[in-house]
Amino acid sequence: MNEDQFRKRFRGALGEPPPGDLPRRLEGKLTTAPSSRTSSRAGALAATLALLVIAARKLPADFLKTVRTQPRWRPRAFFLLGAAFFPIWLLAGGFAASANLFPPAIMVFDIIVSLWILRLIFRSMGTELNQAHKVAFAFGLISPIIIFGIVASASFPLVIMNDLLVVLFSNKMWRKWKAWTFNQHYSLMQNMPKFGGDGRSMP
Amino acid sequence: MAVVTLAGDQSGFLDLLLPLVPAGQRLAYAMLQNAHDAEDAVQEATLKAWRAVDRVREGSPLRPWFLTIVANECRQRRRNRWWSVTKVADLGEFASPGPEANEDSAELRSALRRLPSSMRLTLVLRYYLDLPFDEIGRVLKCSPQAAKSRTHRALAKLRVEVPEELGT
Repeated sequence: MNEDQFRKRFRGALGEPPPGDLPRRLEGKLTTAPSSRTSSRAGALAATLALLVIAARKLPADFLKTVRTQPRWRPRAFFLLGAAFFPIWLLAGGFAASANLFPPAIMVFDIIVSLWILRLIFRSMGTELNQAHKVAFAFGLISPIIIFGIVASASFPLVIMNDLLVVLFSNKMWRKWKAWTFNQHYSLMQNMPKFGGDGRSMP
Repeated sequence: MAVVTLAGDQSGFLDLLLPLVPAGQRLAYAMLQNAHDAEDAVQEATLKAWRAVDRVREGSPLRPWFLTIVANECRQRRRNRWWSVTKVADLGEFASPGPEANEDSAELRSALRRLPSSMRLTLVLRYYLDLPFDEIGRVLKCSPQAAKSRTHRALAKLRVEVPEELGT
């Protein structure tokens, strides 16, 4: 088989990409100059920093202070709120990118929603008997990362095995720690001086 | 051959870049063997090229430079662990396998997939895009002679994989 025959065979085997209007679509996307894209990113960063500084200075000191003695909801609700925390950012970013929104707008949206969720959680957490709620919230926060990690390593059995061992270990730790911390908590409430920030929630 | 003479002129650069998109699309399609992935890769590569407009050297040929970006993007996509399972499952999919699609063609495609990425790229540049060796050398970042010998090596390896198909 000579070179031309091979070329023909090669092209026949690979086929041709389906016809499309990619160049025209790209032309529409590339009408914005690269420099203005860079300035959009810089603008988003500046808006984020400015909003964080303003929020830190202007928000009242008790913005995140709890207003209850006992948690408002069961641990599952705190888990769900924690689990929604990071995906809201991702979904908002994806939506903004597809809708071609101005980047600083979505950064501001992310910060406001994050503050709202944090305020809701902190004010509802209570000061007593909230260990399970705190752990549920913390676990909710990291659960999207765990899920993404497991999906990403789905094709690597060794990594999955390792993940499974970590889950079993964490489960065992949780059971032991839960029993211990409740014992300590009640002992401290009844007999011992208080430790920690609020002196009541954690031993 | 399109040569950059308009460094910094974005509209002029766009006029040079867009005619190269179909070639980039063919390269990505041959490398990824999936129409959707190829389109995504070319879009991303074109955006990267567009952002790098200030870094293009005046007088340098644009096609090998753009095809290098497309090839890197394809390599990056195949490396991506997130999609590795999907990619393997999709490898056999061809939107338009051509009039000669048959068992022999499938065997040739399968053999091509088994080749290392650099060899596959060399063969695609030479026999699918019909590039001369000096342009292949620019894409592979080697001399035209080295590009020629790499093409022969890739061809020899492919011949080992499918001896009947290539008539050895």
